Amino acid sequence: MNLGASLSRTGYWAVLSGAILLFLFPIYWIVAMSLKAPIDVFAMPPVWWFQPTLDSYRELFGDAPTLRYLLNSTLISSLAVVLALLLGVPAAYALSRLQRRWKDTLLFTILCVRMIPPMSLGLPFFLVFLRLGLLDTHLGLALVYLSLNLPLVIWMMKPFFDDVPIALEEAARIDGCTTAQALRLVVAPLAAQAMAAVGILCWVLSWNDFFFALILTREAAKTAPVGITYFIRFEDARWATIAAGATVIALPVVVFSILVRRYLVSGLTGGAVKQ
Amino acid sequence: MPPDPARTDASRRFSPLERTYLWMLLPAVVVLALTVVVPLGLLLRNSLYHWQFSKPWLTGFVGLENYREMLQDARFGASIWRAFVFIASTVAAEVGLALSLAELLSVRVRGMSLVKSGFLLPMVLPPIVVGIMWRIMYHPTLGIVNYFLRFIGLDQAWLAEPGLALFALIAVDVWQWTPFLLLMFLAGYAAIPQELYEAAHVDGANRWHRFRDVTLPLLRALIVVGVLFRTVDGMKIFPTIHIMTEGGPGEATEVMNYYAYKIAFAYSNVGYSSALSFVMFLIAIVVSVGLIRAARRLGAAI
Repeated sequence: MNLGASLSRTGYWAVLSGAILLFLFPIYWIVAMSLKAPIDVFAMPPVWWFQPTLDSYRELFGDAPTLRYLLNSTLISSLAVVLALLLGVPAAYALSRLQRRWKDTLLFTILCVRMIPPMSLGLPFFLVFLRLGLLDTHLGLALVYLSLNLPLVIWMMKPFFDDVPIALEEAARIDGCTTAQALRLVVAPLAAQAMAAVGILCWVLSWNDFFFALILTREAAKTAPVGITYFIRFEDARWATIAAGATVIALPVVVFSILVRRYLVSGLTGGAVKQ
Repeated sequence: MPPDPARTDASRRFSPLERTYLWMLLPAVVVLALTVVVPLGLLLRNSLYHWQFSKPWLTGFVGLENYREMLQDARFGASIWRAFVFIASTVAAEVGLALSLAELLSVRVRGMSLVKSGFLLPMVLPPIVVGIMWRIMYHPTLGIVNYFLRFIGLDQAWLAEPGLALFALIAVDVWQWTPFLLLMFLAGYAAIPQELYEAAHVDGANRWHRFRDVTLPLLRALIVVGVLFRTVDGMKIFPTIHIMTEGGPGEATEVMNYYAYKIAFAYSNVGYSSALSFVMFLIAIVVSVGLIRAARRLGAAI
């Protein structure tokens, strides 16, 4: 190996490590903070080596509502995902198989839903929910997330169905299957993995939402991202507890995202970018 | 073999199979109509009313009054300008950084999947967690950001200085979303045929020329798609502002989106906020449709 190549190799690793350090350090810092004793949390100069303690987590869950907020988040996100898959997967399949000119217009319109500013939907939702008594209910928030998830499911599943040869279904029909059976026995098993990935992505996006949960819930259906701001409202914000809360909220998201990392960029663009 | 598109015409009868497809499509379309089209219709209607929760006796139809008020509202104009500055800076910085990193990191592939998993962490974090993280790190006296900057004499009250707060928010957005564009661009790099680089190499092109003449033209469509999504998401920014500055200090970080939120939920002026939100919707759709068209012209499969 000549000098130039080894220099560029060193440069490569230097840039790579620098970038990783820069992008991951803040995450490390907050997790570390959640494990520090109160006296070390804001020590200046910062404490780099410390005895980890779970006190902050104990305080986080000792303060009763935390667990309920997490449960609310789980329930609402899961309900929204189940509904979005039930409605979105058949729609994506139909859009893949139909050969009509208006199909592209419909798909384009569905993509545009991803672009609508949350305020433009949130404000009318708030007023309608106020009248219908859906404010601060699990169902209400799940419905909002359903409408955000549906376009994603349709846009991510459609190209997948495009790749499933129609001949497979035709063969099944010739063998005596009904259309429903052909779908259930032939197409569904092929789609299972993609469906799981899309479902997880929708779940993560619903779990992460802050805006709609903020304006459409009060206490009964409050989700974890809104719940955590409760600890900041005090004059002396308990930062270590907040850091613990942030870690707890981020944990499932990180685990799930790594599971579906192949689909992630596609999912964050509403299915518009294929991978 | 799908039927020839030229032969599919709108007046053609639906076959039984197609009718099954339509029934599969219908529920999703109905739900989207109810949860998207209806709210937007209500938003437009409400924007034509004077409607304040705090002054119910003043409620009534006022036509375009709210839109006229908007034209004279300096605070709204300033909030649009801030949103523009925020979006232009974040998009420019993120695309620039992501392209440079992609160019450097595209060279080697071994061990890359682990590295990629690391890079995807910031973008999947709940925005509220990102806001909390950076609020803690930006703490003027005890935060880690100032601890490092103090060595070079650049420590500042990042979120309390009107001139710096928007910049501090831009930095957070760049931190969270550069990796997203980086992963997108790296996927684009992987799709570029190696022969093109070899041909450029034979022609004596140096690295910069290879980047400018081979990579950039082939990544153009992907770059436009990246710009599209960062622009749209930039217009939507809410949780980080809410948790870090609440639009302050003063109005220094009050972007369009946050202003409309405040008008509705802090000043309970539903009519005026509806007008603001409707204009915001129009801006978002016009910008998105323009950028989607541009991306399609460049060959993006979007």
